[in-house]
Amino acid sequence: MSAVAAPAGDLLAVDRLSAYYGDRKAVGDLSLRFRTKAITALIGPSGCGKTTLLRCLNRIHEVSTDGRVEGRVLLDGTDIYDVSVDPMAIRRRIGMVFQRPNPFPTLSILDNTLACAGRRGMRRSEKLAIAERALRSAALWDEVKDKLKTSPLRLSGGQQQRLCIARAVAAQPDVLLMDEATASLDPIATAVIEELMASLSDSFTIVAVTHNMQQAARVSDVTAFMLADESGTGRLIEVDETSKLFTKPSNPKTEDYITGRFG
Amino acid sequence: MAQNGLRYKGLRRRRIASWLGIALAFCCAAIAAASLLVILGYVVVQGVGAINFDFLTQLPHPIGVPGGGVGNGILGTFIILGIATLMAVPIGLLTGIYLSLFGRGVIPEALRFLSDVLSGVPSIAIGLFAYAVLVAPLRHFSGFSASFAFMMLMLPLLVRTSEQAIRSVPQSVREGALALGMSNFRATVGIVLPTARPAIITALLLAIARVIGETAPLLFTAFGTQFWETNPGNPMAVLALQVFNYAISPYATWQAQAWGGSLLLVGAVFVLSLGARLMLRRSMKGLEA
Repeated sequence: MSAVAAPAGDLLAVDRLSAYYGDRKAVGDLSLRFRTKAITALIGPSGCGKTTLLRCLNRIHEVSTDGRVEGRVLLDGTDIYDVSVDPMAIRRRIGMVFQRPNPFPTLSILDNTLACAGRRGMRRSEKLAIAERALRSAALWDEVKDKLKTSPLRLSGGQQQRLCIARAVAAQPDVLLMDEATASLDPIATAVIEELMASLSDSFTIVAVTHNMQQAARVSDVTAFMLADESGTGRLIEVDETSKLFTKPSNPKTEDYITGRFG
Repeated sequence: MAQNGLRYKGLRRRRIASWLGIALAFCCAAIAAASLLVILGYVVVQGVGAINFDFLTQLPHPIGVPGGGVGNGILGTFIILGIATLMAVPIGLLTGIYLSLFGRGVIPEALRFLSDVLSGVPSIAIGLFAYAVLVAPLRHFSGFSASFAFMMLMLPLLVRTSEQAIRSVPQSVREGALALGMSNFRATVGIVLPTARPAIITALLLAIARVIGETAPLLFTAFGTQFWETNPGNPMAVLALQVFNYAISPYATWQAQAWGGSLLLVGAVFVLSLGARLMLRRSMKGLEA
């Protein structure tokens, strides 16, 4: 059963959303509001549709082979799947950070940061200012300021992931989607990214998929628990304040999951 | 161990069979490598004596006049290959992009099938086709018609390898670009293609290596000339054609020059293949990183 934790008027919401891969329904009839300028964590066992839901929020799901969506995703009250809406404009407002760092290998650190930032004809000093702001907000500036022209492949995995966050932030989106952004990182790099998420939530609405319940408990304000039904379709089981969901879940399935009885 | 039934049965027999298998495979590999080395060695031994500065820079001399070279053939080869490359790269690359982006459905499958068929068509048939569509209607042989035939031979390799090169770029890189709000075109041209560039250059080098020694299409197209010719609208000398003409001649000096020309062609294929391997290694390193 879907519940709504925040009042109406939120920046981002999904309304009776179903997502498919061909004929297979990966997410079914899901409604959820994402609290503005807060972190919402999506948790649940593997295959419950968390990542698919996240990918529906910026229309990257439809890039997948056979990916299609029914229902609505509302950004500022506008259905982003409406035929009149430009998916590129949506993706500029809803940035995304992927599970594995994916810097563009042929661009320098600076050019990666500015890949979609600024506008045509902008002065170099203005571009540099945007890059510095983005890299500072991703807590990476001090580590890369002397090697902005070098390849991002020379950075560590954690640094590459922060570069991808900087790249997303530089485009000045309203929403940041993070798909298990720390899954491929060591504990130290994970801690840095978690701190970063907390600081970024002052400026952005963040939706984060995570397998790590401790991480969800540490960093998120709201947590949504998803579970696949017998047919393999992901359903929203419960959504609530993180502190409440992890201490007094209202659904027994949530309790079973967070206490480790399955998943 | 022998008592609890865990010991191998017939271990000695298995070891002998294993060693025999390894020895057989090694022998086959040695025969394959040896045949290639013998061919290469023979061409080097026969051809190296003919190669000197004059051979590389001078026009062929008439029978009975000592010296002379294949300078016009080398120049013609560069011009014809250059024009063929200029024609084949945009068509092959754009088709590869199309197949990698919209790879499913009747049209892409038909394109792949036709490309595979074209790669199996004998080069002499391609030469005849170029003759029929360019030489016969225009009523004269030309370097351009040879470039057209070479382009037809290069295209299938370029199409399929550039498609594979673009597909080999991790989907996460492409999605990363799209997730920033880039258009499909910008993500492909600005991010995916540069990432695939070493593999695409590898494909191009292999395609050039594939056609550089082709002679059959040239018989119906470039035709050859004894003079310097830089206008691709006229018949042109081509190294592979000169090798053919000299090799079937009854004159020892021309036959020696045919070996020299063969060595140049083998050397060019060797350098192109080596370059392709180095580029591919660089490409794989980049993608792994």
